[in-house]
Amino acid sequence: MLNTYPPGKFIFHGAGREYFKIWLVNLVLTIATLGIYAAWAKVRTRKYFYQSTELNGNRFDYHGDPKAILKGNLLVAGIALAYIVSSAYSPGFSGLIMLTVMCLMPFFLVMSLRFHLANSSYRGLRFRFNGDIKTAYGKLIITILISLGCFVVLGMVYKIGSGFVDLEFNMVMSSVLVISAPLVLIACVSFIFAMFISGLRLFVMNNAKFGNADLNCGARFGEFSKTTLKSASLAGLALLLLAIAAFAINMSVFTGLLDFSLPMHDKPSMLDDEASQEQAQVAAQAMTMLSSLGIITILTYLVLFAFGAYLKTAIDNLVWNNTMLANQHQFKSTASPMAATWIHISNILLIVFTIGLFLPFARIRSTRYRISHMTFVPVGSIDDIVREEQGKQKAFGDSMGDALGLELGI
Amino acid sequence: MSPTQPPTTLQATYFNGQVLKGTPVNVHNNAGQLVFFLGDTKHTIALRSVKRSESFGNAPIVLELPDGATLEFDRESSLNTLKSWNALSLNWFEKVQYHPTRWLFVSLASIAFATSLYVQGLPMLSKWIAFATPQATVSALMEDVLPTLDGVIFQPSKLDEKTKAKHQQQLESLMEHSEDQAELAHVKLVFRSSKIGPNAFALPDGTIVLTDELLSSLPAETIPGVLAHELGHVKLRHMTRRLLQNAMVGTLIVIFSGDVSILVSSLGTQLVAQHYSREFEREADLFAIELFVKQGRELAALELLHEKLGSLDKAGSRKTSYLDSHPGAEERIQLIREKQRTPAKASQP
Repeated sequence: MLNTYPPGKFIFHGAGREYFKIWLVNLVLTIATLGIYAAWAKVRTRKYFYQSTELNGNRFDYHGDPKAILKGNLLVAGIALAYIVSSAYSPGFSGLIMLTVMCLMPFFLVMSLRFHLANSSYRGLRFRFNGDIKTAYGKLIITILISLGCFVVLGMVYKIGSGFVDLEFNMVMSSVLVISAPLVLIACVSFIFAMFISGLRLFVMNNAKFGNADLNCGARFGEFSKTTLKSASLAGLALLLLAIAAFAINMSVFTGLLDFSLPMHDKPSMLDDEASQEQAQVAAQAMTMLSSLGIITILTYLVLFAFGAYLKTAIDNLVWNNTMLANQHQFKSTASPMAATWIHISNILLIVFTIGLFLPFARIRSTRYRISHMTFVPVGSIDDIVREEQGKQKAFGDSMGDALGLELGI
Repeated sequence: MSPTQPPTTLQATYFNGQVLKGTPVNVHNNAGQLVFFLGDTKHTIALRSVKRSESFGNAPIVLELPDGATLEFDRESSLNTLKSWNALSLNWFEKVQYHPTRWLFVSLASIAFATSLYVQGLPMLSKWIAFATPQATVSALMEDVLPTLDGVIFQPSKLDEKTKAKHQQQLESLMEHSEDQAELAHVKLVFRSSKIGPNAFALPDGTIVLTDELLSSLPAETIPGVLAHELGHVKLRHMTRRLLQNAMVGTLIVIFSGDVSILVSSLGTQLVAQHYSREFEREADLFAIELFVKQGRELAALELLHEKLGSLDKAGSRKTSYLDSHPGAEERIQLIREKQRTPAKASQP
């Protein structure tokens, strides 16, 4: 059968220098208005990114009302203020606030998705989110229970295992434990991550619609697990290498293999007795050790961050490659997790070295990579997708969801 | 009609918001009404009721019609005509973006604003908060600091009671004639042995900590200078102010850096914290100098203190760099010499 509906690549037209202006104005006005403008800033940013995304000659658009987002922002600010004030006087009360917020997360997630999608459009048709709150809570509770079960089982296994080691000092047994411990940990972490991630992504995608056309993701839990396991293993390997490096550096400092005596200035020292010079030497070695530890800490953060970026890209690919629109049209996501991770890492470094000024360019850069590796593969015409009736969507869930770090774009 | 005049009829695509299909239409302006034909039906929409939201870059210009439909115009060919129809109301910051010189000015102004905020505003705000809070509240909030430090960097002091009493006496004589007696009433002196070398600390609740290591590496006559310096920190509530400033700077940096918080904020906070710290050291030095002058003590003891401290300094350099947490020894000695030359501050003992 001849396919007269060719696949269309997503094209990102955003440019760093354009967005920089928008970002800068947003920043200045947000600070000048003590945060009130933040709602308008968010809408402008989303509009820019949406309108810069093109598929088959048409752009996307965003219609969120800043006033609605402002209401949500004020609510978040109020809660944050209550938390800070109460933590000074009554740690118990602030703990209660934190607990309540965490319990309400699924609620805010659903609200946020509804607002976000209902205000996103392509060629005049709006998206929609139909997920209901009860299901969100149900899934979350089940996932938490299973994770807790995992931890309990893990704990029991280790108690038994270490009890075994204590009973008789067995070199083979203990070395098996030492090696298997991180492996089991990685496996457990991957499994739990896979549960949460698959639960969330499937919940979002399977309840999303474009016009009257459903979106459905057919990726199975097993595939999620494989992806998280691979990412976690890579991260574990990187951390292992770091640990070896840290150990090697500190060992060498101790044994004095590397000469780290600080160059003393030419002026005669005020204190020329040997004891204080030796003390200076020890201090110098301590400084080196501390600074190498500091570098190791930074590198650890970078590894964890890279793990997050790698995982996210791999999961995005998995989700989109298994998503169908109206049960026929498909998507292809070909972003390379390695390349995406490198982009994110280099972005962070550039942002740090430019004291934040590179941030808008960084966002454009990573968005361009992600979008330019997405393709829409229609099977037949999409002209039969039409509008569906919808009611007004509440907005304040949007800001709460975003404030707590849930960046869920399509 | 000259060729440079913008066209009076524009081509647009009409999306009705119900189906994906877009219909090409020709739109013209009839006395404030947009007119176009969909098939045989004539549509007339008042320009006033049309919503136009900001569009960027080279994206099409979208006019939102009251019934939810939209008209999309190609930006390049339609911009001027739409402007002449007053269909586009550019908000002031859109205008700014179209004028590079103006947005350059805005950028510079914003950078200047942010800088002055960080340099002037934050210290002022934390100073105000620190002094507005009653000392009793601060002490209550900070009473865990010393026990925490005791667990980490402090060990019990190995000094004998006589030496401790001697330094206690020195402290009291410094506070005797001080006008700030009321403010310093809560000051306590404690002794510790420190794992991180010679140091003296002023904690937010008014506790001054002298370490054995400091006492053994400095000549005895410089110790009152150390105590006076720490008294300055206590009186001027430096530790509290520093905690507040760090918290605020950290928050600002998180806002600036968006979602890249961890690395950027900790690095930035450290750099900025060092800068503020030097200001505090200067203030404490000044306090010590003035206290000495008021009590008729010899400033030479302070000079000797800073010379000794300068040589103890691990970095070896006596000049100030941005990364230092205190001014270089040269600078501090200079400050003392300046004060010596202007004995106007000396008052009756």
